Amino acid sequence: MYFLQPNQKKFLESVNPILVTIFFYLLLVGRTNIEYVFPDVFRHWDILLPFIVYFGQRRSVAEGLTLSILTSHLYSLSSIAPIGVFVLHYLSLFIIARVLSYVIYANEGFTILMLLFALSLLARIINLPIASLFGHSWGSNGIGAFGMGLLLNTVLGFFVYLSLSLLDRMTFKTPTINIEMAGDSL
Amino acid sequence: MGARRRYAFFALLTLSICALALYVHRHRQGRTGFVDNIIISATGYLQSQSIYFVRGAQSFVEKYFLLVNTQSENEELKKELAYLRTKLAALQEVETENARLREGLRFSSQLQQQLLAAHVIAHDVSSDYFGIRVDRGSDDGVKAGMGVISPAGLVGRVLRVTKNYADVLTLVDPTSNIDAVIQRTRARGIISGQAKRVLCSLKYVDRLEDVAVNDTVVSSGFGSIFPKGLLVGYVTDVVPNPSGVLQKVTVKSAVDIYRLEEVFIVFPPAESEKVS
Repeated sequence: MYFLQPNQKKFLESVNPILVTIFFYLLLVGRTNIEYVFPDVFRHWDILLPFIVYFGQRRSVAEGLTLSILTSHLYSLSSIAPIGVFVLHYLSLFIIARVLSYVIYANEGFTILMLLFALSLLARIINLPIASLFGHSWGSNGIGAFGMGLLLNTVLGFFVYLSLSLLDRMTFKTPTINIEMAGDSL
Repeated sequence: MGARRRYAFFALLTLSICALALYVHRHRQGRTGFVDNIIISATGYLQSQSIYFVRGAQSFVEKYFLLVNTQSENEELKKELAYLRTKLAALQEVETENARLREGLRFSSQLQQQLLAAHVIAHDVSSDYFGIRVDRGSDDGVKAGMGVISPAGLVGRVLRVTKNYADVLTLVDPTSNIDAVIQRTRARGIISGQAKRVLCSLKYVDRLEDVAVNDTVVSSGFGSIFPKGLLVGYVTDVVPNPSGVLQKVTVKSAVDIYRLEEVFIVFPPAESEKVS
């Protein structure tokens, strides 16, 4: 890939958001089908969470917001939840991930896992008031959602996060780094 | 963060909130726009194709591992047997599908209302909502609010319809409310989901009503969305409330939404006359 001309690299960088959206979309289709095989396991996997965390960490505000809204709308269209619940939910998570990006830069195994775990936990908590805004409030924070959900969101989310990082490298996308202590080395 | 960036961030945030409010308002009550319809159609097509792949792969893996564990013959025979097993699994799949469809046809002929058969092509992407997507849409006459059933029992209601696909709110979803009665005593209540795979609550049952574990719960037939007397589930737990007005009744749904492959969409009596 390094033999490419600068304008070709620029082109690849410009199509990165489209590739990220396609990657999410294919994962979404797979997720709605794989639930059939192991419903008690995969039902608790939140496929959008690692994307939102990644956007918060490595995208500019404008690009991150646009991608968050687009992906969460696609997510909404594959659910019977009222349109708006997930957009608001993931937009809130994006803002939290974005604010966190000023103090934590998740670039290696442990920090990525910790960030995904923390935001997965937070997602379960903020889910309730947001769903209540739409007249939906029930005890969705069951053992399954907390136990299996946190595990899957952290472990599988880690691989999704790494895939996004790889996609960025392949498309010469320079990540936005907000943390001041990161310096130029990152 | 500089002052300009901060202002830009808050301006963008405010604009996003306003846009979000407009967006939510526009999509209320399951309405979808032109672009959404295209997205759902494309997603539905991909889901309908990939579900067969997932089911086929699952069937193949199950049969193959079974074979590896049980056979001790030579490699050639194993390969041949594996091939035959795969073929057999495929044939058995066709046979069971035929049996299901025959059962569905018999079931359909028993009911007064017009039914439309549909395949389940996907499940809800979120863990908090329990919906399914079927491969029938407005082109087939499906409308929001129509009932969805299966030979095993009541499934749910159509919530959102596009040209070729429909999203169904199942009875195990907490936002679902379906009128039901206890078959033995005719005690009435509303079946609502508990966000669990097969458990529901029968709400608003008077504490003086006679309800016992293992009682059969059936649809009341009010509103003509579902045929009267259709199996909903069985009572698994009754918690009497001596000081309150209502008792807490838990019902195990007769249908496991994750094991559904074919369903029937129920046309209301007026629509049934038009269709027939």
